[in-house]
Amino acid sequence: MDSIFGLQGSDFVIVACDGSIAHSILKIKETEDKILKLDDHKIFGISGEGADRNSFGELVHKNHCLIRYKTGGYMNLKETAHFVRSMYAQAIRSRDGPHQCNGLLGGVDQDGTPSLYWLDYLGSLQKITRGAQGYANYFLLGLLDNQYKPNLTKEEGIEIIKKCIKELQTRFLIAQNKFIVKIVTKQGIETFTI
Amino acid sequence: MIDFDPSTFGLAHTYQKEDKDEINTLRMPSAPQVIYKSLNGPTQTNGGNKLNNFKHGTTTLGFVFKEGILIAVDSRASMGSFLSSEQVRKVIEINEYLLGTMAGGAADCQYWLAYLANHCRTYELKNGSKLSVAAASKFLQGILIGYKNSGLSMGCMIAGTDLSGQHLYYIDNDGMRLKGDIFSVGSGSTYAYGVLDNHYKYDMSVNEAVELGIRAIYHATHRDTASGGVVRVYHIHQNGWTKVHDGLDVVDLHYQFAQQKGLVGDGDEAKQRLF
Repeated sequence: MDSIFGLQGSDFVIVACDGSIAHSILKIKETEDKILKLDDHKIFGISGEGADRNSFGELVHKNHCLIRYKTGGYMNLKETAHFVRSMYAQAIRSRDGPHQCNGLLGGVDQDGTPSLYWLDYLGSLQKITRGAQGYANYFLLGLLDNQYKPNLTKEEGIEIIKKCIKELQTRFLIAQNKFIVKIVTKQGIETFTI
Repeated sequence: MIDFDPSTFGLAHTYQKEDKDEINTLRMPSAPQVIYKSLNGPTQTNGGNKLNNFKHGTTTLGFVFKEGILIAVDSRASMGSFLSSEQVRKVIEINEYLLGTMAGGAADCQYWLAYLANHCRTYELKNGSKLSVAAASKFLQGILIGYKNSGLSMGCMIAGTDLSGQHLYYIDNDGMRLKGDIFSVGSGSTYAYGVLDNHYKYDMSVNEAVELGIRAIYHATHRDTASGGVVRVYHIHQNGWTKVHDGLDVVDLHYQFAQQKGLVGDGDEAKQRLF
């Protein structure tokens, strides 16, 4: 039931997530941050059941750190996306089965080029400019397609995300009151709660 | 042949005249039923009705406030419609600075929280400093992820104090670990949440917090059949934990709260007249 959605602009990437954790009919927590910070210029929004999201997120984060340490310090977005995809792919026919979570990986490279990748629990990988995971797809893809234009500025991007949040709050059966939005630019990651 | 008077085991009335040959054989009474099987009664799957699958017959709650953390629990254990105990201790004192609450399977909670206590003590001896609440809860999460899908049933809260303050974590058998300010776990949790969410303020005094905890548990026990018994309240502060109340009977609380509203507490507020 997690909503993760994101947008790529001319020099930034935004990934937003809802903050709620639910257990049957109860909302246990409303302020859970489901967007993982991989390093100062990469974020990975993960959607899935609590434990899987947590444990896969940690796996990605620590392995990312390890590879950077082993290879000299920096991995660009394309390498990171392919690396995460390979972690998903290795698990699909393993004993424990696939990692039960999907993700949206976004970030800005050292030269300022932004990219956003859509990752699936079976190891699908697609570079996109706008997208969502989970039920948010049904509500937001139309809106994102309609509002997107090439070379969006940061302010326009934030406006579109606000419209998406409003749409989810209007039409989605599950009340999602708090959203956490993270924007990556060449300067770094900004976080705010809507 | 050992000679036993049939009345030794209270079975005299069941002897028939034909059983005379067997009178001298040793008859042991049947072993007592296992009373403490689990906190949720007979294990049966609800046939896919996931919506009501709460962590079993209990209400436990915990919340963080200005003066630390307050933990309040009920004390009922039921096996179906039979109340096996009204005096269960659902708060497990892991050590002087950590508490764990129990919901779900009693055995699972007791065993793994004792295991955690062991681990905390070993760490303290080896490293010369106490384990933080975050680390202790993470250790437990790691164990539960390892046993995922093998049938463990635990919905516990780990609360404690360390050098960075007082922290509350919720951990369940799916391997989920959540840090938060207000949690309530168990079949009565929804009722407790109603009271908690309404009156919770971060800037409460200890007395107000204790009162809130007691009220929330009372309301949960009033409406949830699987919760009841007595309310036990603990307060966690920077010097460890204190047991504020060891056993406040919810029946007494019912009449007390009713009196505060000017009611009798017999449930006839609607003054239904049948004749």
